[in-house]
Amino acid sequence: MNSKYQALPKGVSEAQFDEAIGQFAAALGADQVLTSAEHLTPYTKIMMAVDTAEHTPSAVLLATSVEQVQAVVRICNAYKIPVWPISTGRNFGYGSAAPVERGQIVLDLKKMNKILHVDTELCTALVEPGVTYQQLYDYLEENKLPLMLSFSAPSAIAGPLGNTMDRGVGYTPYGEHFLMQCGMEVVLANGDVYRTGMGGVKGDKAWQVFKWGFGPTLDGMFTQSNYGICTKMGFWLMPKPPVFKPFEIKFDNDDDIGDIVELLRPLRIAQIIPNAVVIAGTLWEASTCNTRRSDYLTTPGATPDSVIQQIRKDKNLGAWNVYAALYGTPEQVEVNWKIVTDTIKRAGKGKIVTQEEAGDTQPFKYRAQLMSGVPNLQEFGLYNWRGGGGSMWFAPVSQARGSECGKQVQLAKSILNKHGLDYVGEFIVGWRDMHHVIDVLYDRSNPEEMKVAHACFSELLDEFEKQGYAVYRVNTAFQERVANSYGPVKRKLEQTLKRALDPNGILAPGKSGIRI
Amino acid sequence: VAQEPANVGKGQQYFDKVCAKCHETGVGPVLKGRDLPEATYIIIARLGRNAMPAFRITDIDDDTLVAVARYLAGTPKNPDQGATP
Repeated sequence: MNSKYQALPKGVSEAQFDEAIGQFAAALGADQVLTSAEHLTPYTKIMMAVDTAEHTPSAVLLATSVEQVQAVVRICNAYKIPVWPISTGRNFGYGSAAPVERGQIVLDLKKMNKILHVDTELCTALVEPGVTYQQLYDYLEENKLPLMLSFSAPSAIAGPLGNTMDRGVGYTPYGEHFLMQCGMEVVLANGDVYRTGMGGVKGDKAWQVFKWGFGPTLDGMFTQSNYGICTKMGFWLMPKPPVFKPFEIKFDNDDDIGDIVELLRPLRIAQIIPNAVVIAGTLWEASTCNTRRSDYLTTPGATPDSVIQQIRKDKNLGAWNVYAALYGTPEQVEVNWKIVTDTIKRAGKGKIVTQEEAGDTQPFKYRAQLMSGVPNLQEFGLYNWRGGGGSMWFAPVSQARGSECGKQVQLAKSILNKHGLDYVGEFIVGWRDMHHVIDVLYDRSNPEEMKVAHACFSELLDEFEKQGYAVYRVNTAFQERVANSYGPVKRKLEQTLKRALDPNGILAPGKSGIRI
Repeated sequence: VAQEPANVGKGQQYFDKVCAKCHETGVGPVLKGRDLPEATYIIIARLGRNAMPAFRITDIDDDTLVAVARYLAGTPKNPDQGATP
């Protein structure tokens, strides 16, 4: 291609694109419209098992206000240009900052980064898209506000708005982020600025405190979708408790997973353990305390069980490692600690590790930090297990039922191993559900292994679907595929809504498989 | 990349806040006290490299990125550090 652009939007000629770029420059300022290879390259860094070219944007727009976002959709409509909005753009393993389809314009909202409001009495926040968790953390610390954040492991560089728009999760009692979201402002494809919940009421003060408003409540409709561009989001913050008591329970055998889940479920549903607990497998644990596969093996293929056993021994890891925490007054924590320890004693398996015993060691330390809203990036050690920059999250939903979790582990491990890859997984424990999060790690610098990883991911989706399982979220290369898992009626309804709200199909066509 | 002399204090601040979370914890290689040219830092940050994500102009502007590179170029080797991976 001899175009001066890195890519062109589907169905748009270079001449038309030139005109559109001119319009964008007039609306936003020339320095907020990026088309050079130098500026676009950072947006093309993906971890998916597909060619980078498939997700190369044609341009990047930097907006700094709601009015500028409105101007962008106006121009996109005029030129039928698809736009892929990102907030902090740290969606690693799910497509990062790159668009779902080659040639889409990335609308980067990172510079819209105002913390608009934090209410220490009602424990709420209202933020713009570019706000990061680190930024919020620093704000809370500097102002000595008695509030606690919840975030995904990329904490320091990720942000609440983008994470919640993809319905991501954290590890505190507020770990189900969309559940704790309250109030949203969205720029629609026609340029209207729509506020959900109480946000449309003139003089309202309840936008961040009452979720539903009146009539249809639409916040959910805007998450994992392409019906609008979110420019503000409110959410609830947990008051910082007087006592925080993180702990770990190590289990020796792979087969223990069923019993672990049966032990934990009643404690979670009754909120004796209130946070989003994790049950991490050995290789997840190993990677997050800086263990690399190459420390043990240089041969390709799945890591043999004997080596995994050796790693357990060397690094003092369980087959399964449960991380949980208690929060509250000293009395509350003491009562619940007794319930937890009695439960484990009765079970006759599982070794409890307290913070005093763990000291400053990893991975306990980073887990304790994530469970108390302290940002760190220790979990990126996962990407060093095999190295090479290949990672895709395969995250099927499961009942929080021992037999189901055991079955999913078996199925995933056999498929991964068949393709020469490892089971590197953890369960994130909801009240009744599990996000069974499996990191499909491979060496993306090796073209053969990239092909294998792609085939493996496809097979994981296929085989899990046959058993009635589907994922809660997926990378941009597989969004069309996963939309099919949920059936044709759902897709038809989504398309009907899309046509009504975005007749030109300019907003992120292909997101979650939705197009006009 | 900016022509103005970059403010090294700003570079250290950014390094401590973001880069150090991987590069002082064993996730990424040690960067302090290495004899790497400024351009290396800039290229790798913008492109990303294997396990390391790329940093966009909205994550860190050119001037701050240069400041990070200069800050790192001026850091002494930690005698306890041993070999750098």
